[in-house]
Amino acid sequence: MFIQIWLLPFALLVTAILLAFPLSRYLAWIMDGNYQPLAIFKWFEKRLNFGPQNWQQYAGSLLIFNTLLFVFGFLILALQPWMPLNPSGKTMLAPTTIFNSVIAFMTNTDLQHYAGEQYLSNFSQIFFCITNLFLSAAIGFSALTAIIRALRSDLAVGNFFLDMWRIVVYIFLPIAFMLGIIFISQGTPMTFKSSIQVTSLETPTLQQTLVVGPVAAFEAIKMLGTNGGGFYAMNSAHPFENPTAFSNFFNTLAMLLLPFSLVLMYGRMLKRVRHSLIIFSVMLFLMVSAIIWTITFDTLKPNPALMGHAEQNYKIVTVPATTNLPVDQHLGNLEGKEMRFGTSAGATFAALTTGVACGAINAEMDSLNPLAALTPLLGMWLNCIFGGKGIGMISMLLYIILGIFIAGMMVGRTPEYLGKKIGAREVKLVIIALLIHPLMILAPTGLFAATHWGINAVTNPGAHGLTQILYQFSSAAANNGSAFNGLNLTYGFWNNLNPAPEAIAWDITTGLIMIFTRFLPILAPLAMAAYLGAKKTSPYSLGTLRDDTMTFWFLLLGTIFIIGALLFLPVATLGPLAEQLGPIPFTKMSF
Amino acid sequence: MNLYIWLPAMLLLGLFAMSLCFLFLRGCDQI
Repeated sequence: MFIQIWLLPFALLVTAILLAFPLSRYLAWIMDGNYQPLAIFKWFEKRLNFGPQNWQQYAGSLLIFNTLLFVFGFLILALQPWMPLNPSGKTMLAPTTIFNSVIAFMTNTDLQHYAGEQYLSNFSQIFFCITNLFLSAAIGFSALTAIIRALRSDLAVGNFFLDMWRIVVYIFLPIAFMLGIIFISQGTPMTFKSSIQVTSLETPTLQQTLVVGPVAAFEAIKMLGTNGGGFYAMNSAHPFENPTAFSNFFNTLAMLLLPFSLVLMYGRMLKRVRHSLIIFSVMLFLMVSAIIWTITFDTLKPNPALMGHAEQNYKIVTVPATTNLPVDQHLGNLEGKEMRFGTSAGATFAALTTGVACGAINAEMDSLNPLAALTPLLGMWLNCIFGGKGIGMISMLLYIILGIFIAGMMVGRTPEYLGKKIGAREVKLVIIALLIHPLMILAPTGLFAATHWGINAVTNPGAHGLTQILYQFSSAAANNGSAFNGLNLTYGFWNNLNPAPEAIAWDITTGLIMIFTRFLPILAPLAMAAYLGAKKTSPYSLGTLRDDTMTFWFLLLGTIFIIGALLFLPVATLGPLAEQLGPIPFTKMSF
Repeated sequence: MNLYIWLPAMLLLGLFAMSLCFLFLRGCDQI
């Protein structure tokens, strides 16, 4: 039983760690430009590399690229009825849903206020979704690379377009190709057909239509790029996206690979590997704690309503109808989980997916027990438990700067990072970047919870409803993209006679949040890194705060908890914790 | 939904939001 529960997360983390070290070497080698491209690639690279850019030009290129990506995506989705590969004649999505979806895919969030198989044609899935899956993932990665180059005082932070090319061609495509082959071998569909007709076992006389498409390719980059937007609405719980336990292992591993490697790439490119190992171990500590917490409170405990509120003790009963079936209550709480993945796969995936800002799901998030639901929320609030590609390390960098600054104030020494003195300008930028996140979560949550926009959309009253709202905004703000699916916010096609009542408000609000929380926390840290890198290096002395010791480890952990987690303690009390303790008035503690 | 109003409105809203990001970039440069 112990092995059955804990082997999967253990194997995942160990494999991801073992692969992260060589992969980080490869990433640093590619991003430093130390490779020799093939002749045909050299032709492209010479044309893309129009010269080195300073940080303002790099950031400007990034924003212009994303603006064009927005327009391109908008056109593809708006013209869906007239594009090829649409045999079932799917019409246009509602304009607000187009707005939300385009921004979601552009910002690596992939918050889907639509069901992929119902509302998108294969043309849109290929040319809108898959394109954005590759490019949006590369944006965060390139932002981190620019920040690293700025921190190590390079004269220029590189060329944005060359970086994007390197990431997509040399990093994403080869790994995604290998993953795609693995998924095809497990039974994931890979076809340009839109649907197949099958005769089911239950009703041999009736034909059932199953939607298919280029799912294997979609799945590979969806997980590798920590995107999370699924071909199907059920995401990685769907038997076509994730057919077997073996594919689930690689599905989960794929989303861990790059966030793990990027932390080590940071250290390698800065020539401070010990420092990045300290950061890596802080993140790993948080991740392991999250997994243990989620599995304990979700898989190993039943719904608190059964335990604490009912007078009788919870006990496992044998239901006569299931006597001869392979149903075992001792497997744990599997409500909302997929049986084929094993006991702890749902909880593990839930803990990991928000940590790395992926947002894919292989179990129903709305089914998580309330205390267990704190983990995905915490992953999104901190955004540095490895975090999204590039963005996780950038968020951690903000906490590092802030932690060093606070430590410097406490002992009365000028704070220094990488030998550069941290000044007022850098701290201002760090605080701005750090505060955008909670502002974009808490303000809309409060607004929607207090108005009909939110109240009409929730499906569970009380604390769980608040958690549903909170989760949606946390997901948008952290560029995660998972959701408690209990929220009723799908408009559907533009001519839908019965859309969700508040869909327009949700579409527009989450869309705007996604834009601001994606780009502002890239621009401010990039500026901060450029200003920091431009300063003179101070010589290392006995009084310098060492950034590769256990003291620094505790400092970093403390900063993350006090600055990051404490901001959200009040709303956590009103949401998940209130739900765990039961309806007001609280009668009994139930854990 | 009147597409002639909503579609351009949503496109412009997105472009407006991106322009605010450009303004933020300028602000970071001035800080």
